Amino acid sequence: MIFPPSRSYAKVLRLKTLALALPLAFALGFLYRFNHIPALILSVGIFVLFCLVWTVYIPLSILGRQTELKSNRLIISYGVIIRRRHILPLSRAIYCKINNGPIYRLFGLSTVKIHLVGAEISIKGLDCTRAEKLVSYLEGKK
Amino acid sequence: MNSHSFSAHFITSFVYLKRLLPLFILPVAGNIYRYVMQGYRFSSSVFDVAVALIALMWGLKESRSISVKVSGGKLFVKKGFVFKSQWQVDIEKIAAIYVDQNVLTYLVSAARVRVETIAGARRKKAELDLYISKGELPRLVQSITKFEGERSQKCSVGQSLLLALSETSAKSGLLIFSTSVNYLGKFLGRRFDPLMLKELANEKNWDTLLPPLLTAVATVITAGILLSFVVSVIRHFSLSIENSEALVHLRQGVLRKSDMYIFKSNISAVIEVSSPILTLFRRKNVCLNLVGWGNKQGAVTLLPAIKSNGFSVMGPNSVKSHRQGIIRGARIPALLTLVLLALWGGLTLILPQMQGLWAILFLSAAVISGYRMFVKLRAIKRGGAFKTETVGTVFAKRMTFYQCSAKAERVECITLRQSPFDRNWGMCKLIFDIHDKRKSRFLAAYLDESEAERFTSCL
Repeated sequence: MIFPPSRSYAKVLRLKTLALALPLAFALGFLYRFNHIPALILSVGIFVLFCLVWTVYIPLSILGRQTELKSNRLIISYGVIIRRRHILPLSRAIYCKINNGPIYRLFGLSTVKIHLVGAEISIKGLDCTRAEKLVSYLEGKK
Repeated sequence: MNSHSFSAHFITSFVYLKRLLPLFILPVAGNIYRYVMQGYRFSSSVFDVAVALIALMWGLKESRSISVKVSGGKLFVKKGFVFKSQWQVDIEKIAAIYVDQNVLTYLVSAARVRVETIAGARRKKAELDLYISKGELPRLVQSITKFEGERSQKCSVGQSLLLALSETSAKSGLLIFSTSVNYLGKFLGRRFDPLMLKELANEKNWDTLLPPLLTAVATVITAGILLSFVVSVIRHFSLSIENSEALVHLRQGVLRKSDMYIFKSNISAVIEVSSPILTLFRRKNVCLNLVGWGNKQGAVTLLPAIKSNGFSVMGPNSVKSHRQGIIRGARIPALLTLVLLALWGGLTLILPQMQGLWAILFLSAAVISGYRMFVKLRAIKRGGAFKTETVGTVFAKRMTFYQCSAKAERVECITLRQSPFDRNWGMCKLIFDIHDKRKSRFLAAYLDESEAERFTSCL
């Protein structure tokens, strides 16, 4: 059983990038008042980086994110430059939690947190119904 | 069914006083305000005295409200008089008991007892933390642990010295450096003279001021390190271990005595550590990770240095390091060593006036870097992940060699991590999350990707 991330997750990631870009833009504008050339160079660099993140990094991040439920284990893959894959035997999970903040709720998304004895694994960007399905399956299999 | 009840010692009230210290901020802030803004002298008012009395009474009441009972294989705890709490836990779910006694508690015949359960991974403090009287302490420990010590092992003088040296290995390096600077200062003829220093400081003559200052600082550092080394030797010499089928009892300390009772069933992992000094003497240290112990103090326990038996744990279900890992792992330390050696050689040959301190520095750094490279290469060559009855990894971090093993049932999660370089060469890093919250998780780097995948499936 595979649980891919929701398409709306890309919108949330882009919103987060914008939220980070706005204070940067203000800082650059402030720098421009004192020194034009470094501010311009920095602006161009940050704009290029921003475009790369917007058009390349975010789609790759969504494509590479996957949650797979096999008979007795959960495999969570994510990452673009450094790829990570968590392999979690289902019997080790203590309990699961579904979190969703206001922005996530707006886009119908949830984060599932699986609590272990000494660690926590997060699965981000799932649809609300899929998240509930995953949690109910995990609780049943514990 | 035997039932044992215990109550907290009155000294626990001072522990609660410490927690109520923020209450004293108001009177102190008020005094500072009066002094600074209005020029009044410090004074205490009725309000200040009332706050102190309330805090003291609160602490006393809190300490009296704590009750501990051991009955029917369970530990029952009740505490609090305004914010009450009560909980119970099975004895078998207790990870360890830590008993602490310093000079102050010795004077009032009390001891601090901390009990941690296997669910304590995310807490910073122990689940149960109280002071009880020395008379009640053996009864409490016996009722929970039912411990009857069998084999006793003590640390010899030689082992204590080894352990102290390995603990302070970074400090030992600093000791060598500071001693060198000390002698260098004397060699340059700049003796430490406080009056002369004051005159030079007034004239701002830094060229003549710097060597004696360095000598003074080096002397202080040397004295501090020697003192900590002596304390470390005494502490390790006082270590004794008693072993039974279900429990390990460690006792350590002279001025501050501590006893630790560890339930063997709740040991999550065993880590064998070989630091540079221990490797020199073919010894290694054994550390125990406890299930659920998030408290930094009690998470890892050191046992006396034991003789190294070599690594014979690689069996059929093991994954060895990839060949490319050797190049990857060694290139940065190798480059650093070469650069430092070149700097040392260049400085001593081309600029003879720079000999002495700088030469010592660069040569020492080159030796350390070279040793680090050697340890890393050794770990990569011999290392990997293994699974027999336990799961384990072999890796090197800084200049220390780690061999970690844990029961397969304690493994919570396995992570395979691939950087772009790893992906290019078909390698990955295997990380095990086990039943504790230690930051140094089990890891094995530079493994062959397909073999690591096969490894995870046999768990």
